[in-house]
Amino acid sequence: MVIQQVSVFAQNKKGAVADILRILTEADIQILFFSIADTEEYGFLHLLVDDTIKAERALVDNGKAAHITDVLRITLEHIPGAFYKELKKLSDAGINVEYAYGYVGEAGVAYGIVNVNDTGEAERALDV
Amino acid sequence: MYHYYNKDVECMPPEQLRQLQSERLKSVAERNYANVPFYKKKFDELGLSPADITGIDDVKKLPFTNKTDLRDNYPYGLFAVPMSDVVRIHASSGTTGKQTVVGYTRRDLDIWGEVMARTLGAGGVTKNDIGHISYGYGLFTGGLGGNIGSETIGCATIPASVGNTKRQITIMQDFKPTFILCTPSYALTLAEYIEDNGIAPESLSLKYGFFGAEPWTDAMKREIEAKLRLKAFDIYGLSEIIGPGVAYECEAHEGLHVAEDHFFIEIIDPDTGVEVEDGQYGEVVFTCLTKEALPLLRYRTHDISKKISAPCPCGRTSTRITKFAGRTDDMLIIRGVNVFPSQVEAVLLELGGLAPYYQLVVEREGSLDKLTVLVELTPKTVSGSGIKDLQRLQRTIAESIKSMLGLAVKVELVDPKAIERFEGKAVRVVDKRDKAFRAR
Repeated sequence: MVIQQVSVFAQNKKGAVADILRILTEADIQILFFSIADTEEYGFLHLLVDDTIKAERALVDNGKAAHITDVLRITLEHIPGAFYKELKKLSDAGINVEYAYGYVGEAGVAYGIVNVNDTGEAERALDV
Repeated sequence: MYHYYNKDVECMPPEQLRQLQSERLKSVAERNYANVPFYKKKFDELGLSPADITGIDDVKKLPFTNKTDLRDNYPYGLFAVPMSDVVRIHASSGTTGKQTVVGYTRRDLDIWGEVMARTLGAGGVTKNDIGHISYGYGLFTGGLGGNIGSETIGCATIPASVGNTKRQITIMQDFKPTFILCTPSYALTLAEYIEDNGIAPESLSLKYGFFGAEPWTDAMKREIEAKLRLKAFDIYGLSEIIGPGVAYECEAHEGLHVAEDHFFIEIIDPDTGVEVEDGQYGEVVFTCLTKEALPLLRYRTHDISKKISAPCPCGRTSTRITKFAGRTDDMLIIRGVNVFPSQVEAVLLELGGLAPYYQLVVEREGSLDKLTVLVELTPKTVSGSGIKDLQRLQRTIAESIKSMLGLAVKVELVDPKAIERFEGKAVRVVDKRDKAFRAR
């Protein structure tokens, strides 16, 4: 299914990630999962939170370049190769994955998160 | 098919124009020497007599006038006529120090009307048009300058002035003006207002817009044209010379024509004061040939532009200059290359989505100058982006700046509002080099 994550730009400098987490804490946002994609100079934090809109607003209001992105959440069997099986469907359909991460949610359910250009197309490929 | 307000003068054979300029220069040199103690002193110091001015080429013999000269002679010290002949005063606030005060005789106002009429006429305005003037009325020359041009052509003229956007739009819908004068940023405000309020641009009758008084880019021009459904024209002027109307764009949109029978233009090297070769960037200098109240000689504008030598397809014979490239005050010399922060700003605005907040950091590493451009991101910039998009953006900015300046730069993307502000404006330049290396 399509869910929303908050992505926020972070300069690669001391305290940048802590600053973002402080803003979210002060806005009383619960973080379900986060990942960092980075280069030498800057990075993006991708966050799954309990209130996406509120989180984005809090970050923007505090001077961060944040935005909401649609990503695909795939429920996975918690066994080896489960994520591979799903990603292969995407590559077979010629869909390029921009980035992906996985996490285990409450009650031990495993999820794969993928960011693609066209979530609709990817959903159709996964349903096959 | 090109349009003109005064075709005979605007397309005058070049030799005839030079003849006219020569006669006028002689007269204005005499008038200043006889009536303005400041100029008399300057002439005497140079060992120059008004009789030495025999033709337009002798303009080079004349002393320069600086903005500080106007301030030092505040408020009326440079006026060349008695106050009884002055019918209008304008003043520019100036970002630093005292106001700059300028005066007009009745004839000066006629000249202003004439050059502003040419400006509007070059866009196609005729007396059948209705003008909406959204420049500020008051000491600023924009409002009354637009007003006098519109009335000189014979247009019904609406002195709307600035502000109260909702009311401005109502006036446009009800009074049906066909052209507008305002700053480009206000044009965008109007465009955004009608967009946000679901007002169809067709419900306005605007055909032409004349925008100036602040720097703007081709991207802004395209946006204004698309959203307000009009043809946009660039206009240039400064109160010290007359106000708007000093130079204007024609329908060829290939630079601005100087009203050169009234304002003689030179482009000089700001450091040496020597005229640059045609086609080279330099500081724009104007000599008022016809004005009475404040006929400044070789006034240094600190604006940067260059002459276009090819004839314009419109047939106007006066000197054509490119859109203004910046201010000499802001000029940096990096690895021997002249750099204006506004050039970088233009690149960022052209790329779209980027905030106009940037900072140039110049450092000396070993024997080389190093230029880093900090660029603020906005939530809009990063919308839908991944790290790869940002890297692409960073490369595009660096390549665009390099192709404009001929200098390799390092681009750093930073958080929104990360760049230091001073009184609301971003600090554009941080020069960390020793003074010796900033060499002018």
